[in-house]
Amino acid sequence: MGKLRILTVCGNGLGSSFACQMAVEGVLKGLGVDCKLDHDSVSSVASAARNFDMIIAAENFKTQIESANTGLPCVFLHRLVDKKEIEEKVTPVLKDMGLL
Amino acid sequence: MQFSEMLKPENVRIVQSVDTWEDAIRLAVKPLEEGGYVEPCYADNIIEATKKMGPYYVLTEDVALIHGRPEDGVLKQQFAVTLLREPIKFSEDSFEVRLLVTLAAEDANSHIDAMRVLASIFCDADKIAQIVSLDTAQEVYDAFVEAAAE
Repeated sequence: MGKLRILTVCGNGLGSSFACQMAVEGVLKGLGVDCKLDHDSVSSVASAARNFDMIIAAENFKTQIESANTGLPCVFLHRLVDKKEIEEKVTPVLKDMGLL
Repeated sequence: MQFSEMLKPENVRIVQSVDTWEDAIRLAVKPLEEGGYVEPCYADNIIEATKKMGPYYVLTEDVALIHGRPEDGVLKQQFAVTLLREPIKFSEDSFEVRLLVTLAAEDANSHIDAMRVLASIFCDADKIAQIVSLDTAQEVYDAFVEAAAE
């Protein structure tokens, strides 16, 4: 597997998801995981998913993202920029993927 | 674009309180409207989007990154900062917020440098606590500019 590709998602794909992307970037750097991140809107998830290995979004988009049936591991956050919460929730997924 | 071009001192304001979350949005968007960065419909479009999606811009305790889509009325990319002395809740189950950062984005990526600065602040609970307790709008502006210099 090359770089882990993560998509952060919010309503419009340019504000909250962008801030979240940067928080995730910081966490993964700290964990020593090489990754490539991007952000997009929740309405684009179904089509964008094939270019990614993991999706991270706010809890309020859970139903919408799950119904997109991306087949990707999804992490849902209460606080989009909380590095502690991100690390706690992403670490088990990375372990499942064999990256940690 | 440099951070200093994305946030102007006159677009940083401190307000005692607002009655409703809709008022908070209108107030937070106002500096950008006055400066010609967004059309008057921008605040209304964000309010409509909130009714559909919930407060998608509340990032964590005390922090909202209020924004719509480029086609919702953005003319030029810019930020504004409004600090509320009394917090507001944008929905029953979301956090109380005092720091309202309003973003007018022209597309998904060109504000990346400014977002890096904002993200560094948003991820730092101590810094947020420090900013919400500042006395003047100039001090709030300075705090953002200092974060950009780090």
